[in-house]
Amino acid sequence: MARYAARRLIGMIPTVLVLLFMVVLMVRMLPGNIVDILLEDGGTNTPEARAEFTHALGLDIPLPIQYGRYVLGVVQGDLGVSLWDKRSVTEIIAGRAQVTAQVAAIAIAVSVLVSIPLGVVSAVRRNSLLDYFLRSMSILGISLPSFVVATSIVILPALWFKVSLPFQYKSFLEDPVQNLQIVLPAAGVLGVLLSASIARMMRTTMLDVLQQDYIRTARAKGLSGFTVVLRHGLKNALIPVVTLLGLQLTALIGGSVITESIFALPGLGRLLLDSLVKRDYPIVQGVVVSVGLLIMFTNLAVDLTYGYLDPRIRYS
Amino acid sequence: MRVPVVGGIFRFARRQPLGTFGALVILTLVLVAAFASVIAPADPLAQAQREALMAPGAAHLAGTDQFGRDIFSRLIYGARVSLYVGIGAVLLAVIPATIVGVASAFFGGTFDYLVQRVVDAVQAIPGLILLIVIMTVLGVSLTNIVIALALPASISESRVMRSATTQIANSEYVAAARALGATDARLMFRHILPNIVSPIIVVASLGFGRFILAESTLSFLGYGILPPAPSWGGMLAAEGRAYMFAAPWLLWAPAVALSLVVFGANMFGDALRDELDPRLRGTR
Repeated sequence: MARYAARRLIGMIPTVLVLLFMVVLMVRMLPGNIVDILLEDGGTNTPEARAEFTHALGLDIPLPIQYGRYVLGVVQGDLGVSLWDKRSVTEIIAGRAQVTAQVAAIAIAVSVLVSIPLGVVSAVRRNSLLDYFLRSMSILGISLPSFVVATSIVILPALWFKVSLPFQYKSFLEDPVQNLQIVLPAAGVLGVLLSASIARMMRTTMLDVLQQDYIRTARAKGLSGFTVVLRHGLKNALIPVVTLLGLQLTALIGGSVITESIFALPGLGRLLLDSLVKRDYPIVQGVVVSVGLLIMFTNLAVDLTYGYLDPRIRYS
Repeated sequence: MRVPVVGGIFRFARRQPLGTFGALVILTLVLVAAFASVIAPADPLAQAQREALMAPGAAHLAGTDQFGRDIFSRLIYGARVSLYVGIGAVLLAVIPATIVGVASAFFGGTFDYLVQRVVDAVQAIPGLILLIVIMTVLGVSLTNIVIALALPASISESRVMRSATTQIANSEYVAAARALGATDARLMFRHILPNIVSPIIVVASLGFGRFILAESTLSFLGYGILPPAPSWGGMLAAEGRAYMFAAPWLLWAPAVALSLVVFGANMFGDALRDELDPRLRGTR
């Protein structure tokens, strides 16, 4: 197991190197002379400022050397400094990541609570009206633009009950009530939208499991339908769903760009959008790198937990 | 030839009622986009300040926006944008994805290893983040949206084509053809490509809905189609949000159109997948 994990970690290195290369290349591919644009934005067009921006973006050294330095920096947890306020990108991202993490954690909890019961019911009552209804609802959930759902959640209460959400984010430690008032709706939207694809997966794997011989055996020895479905069925059907949950992290972080901009949450998604507007490219690069690494490690962790869930899987 | 096609359509309709509904939605989208100038009651760009922010009614079926533009007509012309983005991005994504996937599986070795690491890296970045960053690099325009949508998809979807090819490439008839002296090109085009048509169609049909949705999200975030061109996402973002309390129809009209089309495309893609390639079921 430990050897397998180590081998997987080493196998990840080339992928990380490709990711970092794409990120370094990004700044070089920006249209126009990026230093000129930045000087215009900053309002000071002095040779010193020009040299500083050129240096900060690593444009004063050849690409291979810049790439080498960036890789070394990432290894040491150094993602460079912000172009404008000169703060460490790693620190800025760490601060914002807490908000995104809180929303993501609640969203995952919501999606599990919603999708697994729905998927199981849909599979057990296969091809019933209820099944058709739930399946259509879940495809609808995939089709609805998340920004439409999020915007509706913001405006409908205001329109119907004259209640509006507080748009002043407070951290949970600062003001738990106001924090949850704004985090819960945002996490709820993401969670419900995520549960659509998980419910579909749950239904498929549950159907598959319910056709297995051991389910027939369990029924034959007189166990109640409830026990058969939950103890023998669900436990085995959950395994592929766990993989999907891991993959959903990608969707959650992508979705955070939208929800954070609608609910005015100061998380990673908001940071990315703001930094793009301010052309603070080191932060943009930092967000892409840290999100990419997080997702790669999560996928690895999901693969490793597989062994615990399904004893048939042995790592070699 | 005619009878099997008609029979096939009927069989599909009987077995996949939801998929048939989806197909009809897509067909409607195509017709509306094609005949936009005939169907639309007004010019989608014509402003009339005296008729600004009118609620839906007899004069304007879906109301008007803050410039007095007819929302219904804008929706109809917006169908063209969605269709252009959907079809353009599907073509630009699926063709390279097929070439890369087939080549990667067929040649294997170092080439395959390198391609797969690039696929891994692209898949590790959430699609929306990748899209926004690519749009920043390319600059905002309709063509660039199509490119930005297609580029990551052409890389990550190549994996589907690769796994389909791997199965075929190891089959006995490919080995037999190779033994008969078939060239690599002949093996790929005559023996492998026709056998991976099913996953290609499935990836294309599911991609269509996904791309239309992604375009609207981009427009919503301000990286999409520039005003005054009518795009459903842009209508939602600009007019819809600014006047969401005073004129909620500015939000609902494009939201309904968009959701219906994406829903239809997903239903159709799902049904096609069930019919053509049961192995892929539940992968998305």
